[in-house]
Amino acid sequence: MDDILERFEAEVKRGVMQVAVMCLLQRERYGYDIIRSLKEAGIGVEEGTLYPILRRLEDERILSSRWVTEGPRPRKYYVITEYGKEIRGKLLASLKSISRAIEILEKGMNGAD
Amino acid sequence: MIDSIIDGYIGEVTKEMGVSQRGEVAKELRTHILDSAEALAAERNVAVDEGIVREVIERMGPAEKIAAMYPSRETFLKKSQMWKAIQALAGIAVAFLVIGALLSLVAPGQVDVPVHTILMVVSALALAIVVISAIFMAIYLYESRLKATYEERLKRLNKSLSDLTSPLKVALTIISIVFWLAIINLLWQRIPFLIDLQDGRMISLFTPEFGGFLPYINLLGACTIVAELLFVLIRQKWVPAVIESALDVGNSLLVAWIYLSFPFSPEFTPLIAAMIKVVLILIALGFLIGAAQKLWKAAQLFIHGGLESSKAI
Repeated sequence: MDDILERFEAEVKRGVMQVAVMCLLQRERYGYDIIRSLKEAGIGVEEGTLYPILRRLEDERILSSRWVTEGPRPRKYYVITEYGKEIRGKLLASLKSISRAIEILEKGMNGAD
Repeated sequence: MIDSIIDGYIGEVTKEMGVSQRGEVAKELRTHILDSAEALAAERNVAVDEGIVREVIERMGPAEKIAAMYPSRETFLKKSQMWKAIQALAGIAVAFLVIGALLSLVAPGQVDVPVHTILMVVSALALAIVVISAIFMAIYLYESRLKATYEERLKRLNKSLSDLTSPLKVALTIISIVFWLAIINLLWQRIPFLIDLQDGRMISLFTPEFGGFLPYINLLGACTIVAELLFVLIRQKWVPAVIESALDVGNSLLVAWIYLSFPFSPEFTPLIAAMIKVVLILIALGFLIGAAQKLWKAAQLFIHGGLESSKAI
């Protein structure tokens, strides 16, 4: 049962994480900074999984990036693109609608009990 | 030690990636691991050590899982469908050949013109495959070599130099030279060859005149064995590399001499004789290319002064 729960949670989290990342990247941030902010927001993730997501979003032109070489080590900064903002708006609306639908279903479920 | 732990993990994540993606992902992950390790160490009021780095890496997740999550960057070669083009051309060539064979079988002697046309089409297709393959190779070399990072190139250089001077490679080369010399000395008079493509009769490949070349072949073989042994015995590895380069030039000249003397059976048809000449030219060219490569290796070995110093660059 734990396995099923873990897999299910991972699937949901992966989808939610993409939207969360898009929200966080309203301003420029680098990987470690994004993970810290996600944790503060209560979205705990395996840290390594963030980078493939960033890469994918960048490939899809939702994010843009640049390397900053000043400082102790080079950092890749990401920010959401205009196209990404459009997608983010639609995704947030979709998430909210799903959340409302789940709420209704849950109420119905409790009522039936 | 910390570096090797980080390198090991990053290497696992990036091992299947293309050169350009690999470099960028490695840089980003390394920065993350170091950032995270510093933050964790500061939180605990300790210095960054192996334990902290291992803990951070554990939090990152299994390398295979992270690697699988990365989008696969399509290279130009994959995107351009060149393999499919070559496969299609080869398929058409085979289809034509089958048709030609069937026509010859069903109506022998009466279908010369179609068979001739088919052979021409197949030759054109073969040429197209060669040209596409050449383009393919050039792009491959560009993608895999020129776009490599400095570290990658250095690693490759070290590997190529250590391969050249490894005892295993030396042993294998010596065994193959001894085997080749044994075959050519003992069996050269009995090597069979098709007298004609249509006839199917076999005759001896060489005339007795070929025996005159054997001392030179043996001398070059023996010198190559000595040069190979020098790779293991002396520190200045560039010396045997230069000797091998010179021996390749010698081999090329010997093949050119064989080409001019042509100690092959006079019974061969002009077509077979022409094919043998083409093969000899290709072998001579191969030796010349080999000589240039070995000279280049000799220069690398001379500049880097052996593997230890090149590793330290």
